[in-house]
Amino acid sequence: MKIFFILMLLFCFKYSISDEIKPIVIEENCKSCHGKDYSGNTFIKSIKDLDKEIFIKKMKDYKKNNNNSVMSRIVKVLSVNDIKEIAEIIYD
Amino acid sequence: MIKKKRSFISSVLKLSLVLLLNQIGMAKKVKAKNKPKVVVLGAGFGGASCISYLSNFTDLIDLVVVDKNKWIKTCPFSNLVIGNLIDESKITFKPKFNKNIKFVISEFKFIDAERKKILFDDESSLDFDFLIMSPGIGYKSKQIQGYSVNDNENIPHCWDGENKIANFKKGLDSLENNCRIIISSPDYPYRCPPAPYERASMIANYLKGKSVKFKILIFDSKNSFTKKSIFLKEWKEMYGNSIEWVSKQNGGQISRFEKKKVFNSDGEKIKGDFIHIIPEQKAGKIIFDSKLCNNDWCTINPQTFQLFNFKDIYAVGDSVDAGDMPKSAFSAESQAKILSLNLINRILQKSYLNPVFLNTCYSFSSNDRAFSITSWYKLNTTKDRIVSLGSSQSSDDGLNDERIRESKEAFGWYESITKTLYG
Repeated sequence: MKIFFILMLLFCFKYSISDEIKPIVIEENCKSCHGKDYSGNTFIKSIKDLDKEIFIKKMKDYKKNNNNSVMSRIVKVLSVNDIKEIAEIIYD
Repeated sequence: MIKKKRSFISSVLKLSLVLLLNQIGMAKKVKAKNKPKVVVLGAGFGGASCISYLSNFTDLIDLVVVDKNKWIKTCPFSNLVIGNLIDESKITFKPKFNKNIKFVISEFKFIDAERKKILFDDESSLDFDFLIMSPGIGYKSKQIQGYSVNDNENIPHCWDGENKIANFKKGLDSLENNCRIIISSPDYPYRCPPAPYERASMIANYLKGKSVKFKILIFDSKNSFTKKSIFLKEWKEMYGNSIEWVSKQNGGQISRFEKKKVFNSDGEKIKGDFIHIIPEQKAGKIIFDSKLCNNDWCTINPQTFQLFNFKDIYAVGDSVDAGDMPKSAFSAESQAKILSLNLINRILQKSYLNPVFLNTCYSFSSNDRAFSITSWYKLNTTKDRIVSLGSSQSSDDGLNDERIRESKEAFGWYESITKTLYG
């Protein structure tokens, strides 16, 4: 029974938007607001010049945050692994 | 048994020979034709997003874009022009496509799917290897007795990029104190689900700015609408009791139109000084003229956006049945990226990527107040339908700061996307 619960928990935590989905497909959607080169504009923050680790931290904060901002709502669905993989694509 | 075996071996040999000859033939064909020609029909958000993405692959494909207009007028933010928040010039763009992309400005009249040819009004034609259709929406006729989208006497619906916003505003300008405005909102599906309610807000914003006393009655063919709780709250806060929404079950469905009056499905007569009918919608006209669709919306493979029954023709944006995804500019752009990515995969004979889509729809309630709804989308387990992973929206009781912040973010999104698409 314990094993069953552990497996259930693992299953729940494993589920994220990126199941069977390549991170590049998720990342393409960031460009809609942040621009083709992530440089943003007067009203949308640039993510181009951020440090990779700062980007990951900010995204984790959005995920934890309950302020119901657009970014927070978008990032909620992503797993920490999704965030790291998106960062790899943007900054590497 | 031996006879059967010989016959099997002979069949395999014949098949191998046919395949080999086919391959030689195909190789010659590819060599002769060089790069496959991809034609994008329509340079709105869906089409322009395909062009933007595919322009990275012009060493692999010949890319041609066809639109009837030299200038693109966007539907997103057109309500803001009505509300006097921005000038019409801010939503009008002359696309600056890469030099290696051919931009054909011509009125198209027919797609010959069998011969893979687009026919134009001037009798010229254009061949394609792959066609991406992004023609936007068309309109259903005879949904409301006495109303026609083509009647210039009527208030223009302004639901596409046609140049009629000035006429619409001229009609608003003629309104006097204590005027009554009637808006008829269509049943789903239609382009941009929150737009009729944003339009009501923008008309109110415009008239309030002119100190004209007014009443807006929204007659709805639905019993609810997206972001309803926020809209109702915003209307109360910004315009008192000046905007009233009438659901379908309370007599909101308009069935007959006459000059200065409408009749609902209960036969009740309602008089108005400004009657704005938002017509019921279907896929773009060219799709029906070319007999590429049997229903109101194109049936597509949601992983590739290939049209059902036409393997080299694709469709994207408002004309397709995209499952749970709303018909919005944001959705069209998200779909266009997947279409383009998987078209390139097809040309390179690579396996298709599993898609994920995003949509965010902003709506304005006044000069500097906006709110939004957001959702991610994936394919269902049988991979034949796009399903929502659950939508979330701005708080009903959002503070001033939140509404102001979202209005700025909306402008930010619009600036980024139009810069990416039109340069």
